[in-house]
Amino acid sequence: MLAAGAHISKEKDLNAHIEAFVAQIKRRQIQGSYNVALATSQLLLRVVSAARWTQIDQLVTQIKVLGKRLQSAQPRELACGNIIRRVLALIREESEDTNDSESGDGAINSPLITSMFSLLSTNDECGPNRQSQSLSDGTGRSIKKDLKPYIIEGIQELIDELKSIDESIASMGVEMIHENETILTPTPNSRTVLKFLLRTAQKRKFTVLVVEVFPNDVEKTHEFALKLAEAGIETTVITDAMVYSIMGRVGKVILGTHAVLANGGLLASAGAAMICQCANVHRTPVVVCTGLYKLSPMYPFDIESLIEVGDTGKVLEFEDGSLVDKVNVVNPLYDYVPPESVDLCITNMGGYSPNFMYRLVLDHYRQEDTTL
Amino acid sequence: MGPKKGGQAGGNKAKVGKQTAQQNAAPEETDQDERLQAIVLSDSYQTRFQPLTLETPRCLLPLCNTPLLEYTFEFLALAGVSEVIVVCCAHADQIQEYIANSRWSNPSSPFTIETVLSPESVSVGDAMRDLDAKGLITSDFLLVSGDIVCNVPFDKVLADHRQRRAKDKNAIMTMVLREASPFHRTRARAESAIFVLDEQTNQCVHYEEIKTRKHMKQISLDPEIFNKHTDLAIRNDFIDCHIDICSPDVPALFTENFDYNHIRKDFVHGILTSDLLGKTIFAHIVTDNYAARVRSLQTYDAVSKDVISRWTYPITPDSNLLADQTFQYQRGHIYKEDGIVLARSCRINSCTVVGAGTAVDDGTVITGSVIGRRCKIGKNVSIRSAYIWDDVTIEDDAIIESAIIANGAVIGASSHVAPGAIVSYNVKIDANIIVDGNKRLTKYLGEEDKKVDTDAVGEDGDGYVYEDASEAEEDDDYEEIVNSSGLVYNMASLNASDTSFSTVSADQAHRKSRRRRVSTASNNTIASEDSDEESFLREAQASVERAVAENHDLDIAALELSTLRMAKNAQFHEVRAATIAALIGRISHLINSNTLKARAAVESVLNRWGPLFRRQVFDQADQIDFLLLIQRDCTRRMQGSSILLHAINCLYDQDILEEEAILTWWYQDPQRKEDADMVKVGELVPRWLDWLTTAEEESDSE
Repeated sequence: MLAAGAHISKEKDLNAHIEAFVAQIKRRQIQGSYNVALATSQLLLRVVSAARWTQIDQLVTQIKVLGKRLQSAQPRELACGNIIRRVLALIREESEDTNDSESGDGAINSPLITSMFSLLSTNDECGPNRQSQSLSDGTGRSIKKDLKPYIIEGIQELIDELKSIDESIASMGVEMIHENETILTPTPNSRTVLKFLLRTAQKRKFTVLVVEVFPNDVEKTHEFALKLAEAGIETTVITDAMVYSIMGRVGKVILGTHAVLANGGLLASAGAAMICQCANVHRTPVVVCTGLYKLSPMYPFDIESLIEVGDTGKVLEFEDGSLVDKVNVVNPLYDYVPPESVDLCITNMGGYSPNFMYRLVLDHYRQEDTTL
Repeated sequence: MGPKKGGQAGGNKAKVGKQTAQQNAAPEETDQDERLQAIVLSDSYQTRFQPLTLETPRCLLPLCNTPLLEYTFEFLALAGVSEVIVVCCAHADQIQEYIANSRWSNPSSPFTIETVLSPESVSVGDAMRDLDAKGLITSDFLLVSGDIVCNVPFDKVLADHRQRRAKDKNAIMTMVLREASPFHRTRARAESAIFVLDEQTNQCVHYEEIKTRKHMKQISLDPEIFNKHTDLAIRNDFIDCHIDICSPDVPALFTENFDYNHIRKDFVHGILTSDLLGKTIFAHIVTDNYAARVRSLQTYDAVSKDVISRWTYPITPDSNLLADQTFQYQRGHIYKEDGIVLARSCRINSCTVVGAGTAVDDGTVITGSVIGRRCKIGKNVSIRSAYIWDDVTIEDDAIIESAIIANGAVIGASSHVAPGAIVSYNVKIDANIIVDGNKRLTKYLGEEDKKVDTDAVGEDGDGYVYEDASEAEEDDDYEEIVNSSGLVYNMASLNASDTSFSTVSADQAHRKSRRRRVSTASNNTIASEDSDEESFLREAQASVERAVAENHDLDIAALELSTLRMAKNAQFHEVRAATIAALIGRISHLINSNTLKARAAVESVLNRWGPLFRRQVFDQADQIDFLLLIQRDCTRRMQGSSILLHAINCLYDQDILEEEAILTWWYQDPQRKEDADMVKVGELVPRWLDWLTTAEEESDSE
């Protein structure tokens, strides 16, 4: 009796926690894809540890329902959905592994797609997969006992991965940046890019041009430039209008991004698309630094539904009453950068061509989770 | 480029250093910090939104399909408030119910929420006095009304305030002001004010309300101000949305000064012009974020537009503040919820919000409007900058411009609702009707019994034209209701009347004399601590008699009475008794000295002083009590019965007594016939009652 009461209060507690999370994400109190990803994974850790299930399907449904709720709180923040899909994939994988070892038949379950042919025939493979799962339902209880710690461990690993992502990306900097090279970066709000440059500066001497990215990131640009300058990197802040004229002298454009889509396209700070176009014209390589948690299985069918529109007051002064009344101002926070504009994506798993991103998506997410 | 960058970098360096220091110190500080309380005044103590507010409190009116109160709470959550006290006055039950069912009462809410009833308060001052009496305020608190929209990050404002408080205990208040040019759409045109600020410290040294309908050419400042402050800024470019951080001294000061009603024009002005108190008030000027208050229809329109065009980000419709909302953003500031049906040929233009379950038929054009949920909009309808709430039906070919159409209303085919009109809850407008811009239609009956106004709503329509009770208010409103017709119209009406500046100084003289009186009165109370009801009656009667004899201003007399009432903690019953005793005494004196006949005496005294009772007599029970008191008093007088008759007639004409109350008193109240004297004095009344009922019938038959 007591235990049941405790369980109910715990559930209430958890529900309150989820609601608070949703409210915070709506209020933009948790902001930036890294913070959202971290908060989401920590929330999922709590949910999974508190969850009770007899069959793995139940857990998957629970997480999916929760995922839908979290995702709809801020549909344009893709990191939240990505983490949920990662955890779902993790749960499925754990359950399949257990099934494999129990049935002793690993041959059917080879989810790795090795050729074009098997890519088309994935659905056929899913069939027996599901069957074997439902066949082993009788042993559901034992599975649950076994699985919970594994899933929790998996999420914990995910959190550790998130925390160390910048490090692993930064370690690749030396291979990317030459001595005395000029680097241009239009995304000063990216922690990843900052660490990438700072780490590389320990071994290389180079110049960084920071684009101001009016109107949303002007203050961040100045902080960013200051941090680089403090680390002894020669840093110059340039206005957005100067990008084209200076591009000829730039060795590489290094971008941070808000999200990477399945086709290799990016959602990066507004203005990034224009700068990438400039770089393309000058044949300057464009390198993107991104953690895998930003990789989304979504395709940009409707670009506008992915781009967040921000505070109008950043573009136009609100004091100016005569203008406010007469003009419509739109302040999109992100730009869609097509995959053709990008030459290389550096992730914590190594460098990939944008064309190859779909493959990483397949490796990390399950197709059945793409729509939550 | 170079030097500029260097300068900025240097500045940033200092800032960064400071930030890290703050972060390190943060955990310790939060332990010491007291919890931040917020007081939300759910009532506006105004009638600008009538007839809409007859049925719903202003803070629950929908702004972009979300109740206004949600925006306030969202702001408080952003500001990091941990305890919210909502003061309810009108429609308290609705507000309490709403809060109880909202997510703010859930355990996930970032603050605890409590509702406090203050049914008798008729101004901000009353509410503050009530709070002070209840002793709910323990620390510095945030005072807001329930109708603000704001996304200002509050930590800086609060830190500044606390810093000032730590340095000087007399810095009792910080007002948050948003810069905006003088004719900004989001500024309430009827209420603007001049702030005189110290440029360096942002201390507010003078506050002067601008009387919109009068020409103000001068304000007078205390020369002392110029000695104390070297740089003064006199500014009229603020949106003052009444977001204040107050110390617990503020409610206490309200209690000390009974005549303070309005937080700005009474309290701030009073504190700043008083030499004795030595309290200081500061302003925090916001230049970056959004802060506004929905205080009139004009600002309702402007704030709606601001929310739609994302000045208030992240508080926008697509944040889906309510759990069941599903708004999605589309290019051109169009917000659509799930489950709406749009005909192929209809056009939804920019800056529009459409709620769930709404169906829009062929050929309809909607521009810059807000459409609620489950609305049915017919063919070839044109809707332009209108606010249409839930469950509204608009039939084919109707035209709606810059109007508010409340829940459940029906607009007939080919009808035209002109800019500025308000169609309140469930009003039905027949086909081919033109609703003028200055009309407010309602179906709410209240106590009155009105018939359907077929001129306004058509043969098959339902509803009647609402007229505001007090005419002075209506004028104000009228200015505002032409909100959407734009500035030009407003300017014309602003310039219509003219007053010289002498009124201002005269006003001030009054204020000064008032304050002096207040202080003497409170001295008196201290002297006679053991006073009882008797002494109150005696003093109050004397006060009124003095006022009559010396022909004081009515306001001053009323103020004196209320001061006495507060000081002695007397009931309204006693106030009435004292006033009646004094006035009837005067009348009787006039008659006995043969100066005037009974009727003329009653009229001369009551026409001049009758309005005093307006602040003493409220509902029907009060009126009956009042009648009994007059009756009782008249038993002691010569010609008592005729005084009674004429007094009732006179007060009835002044609308202080209502017919129903008089009838109840006469026919039902047992106390009326308690003894022979009472019966005798009432002997003339039946004649008057006959007249009343026949007059009523006549007007009915007309």
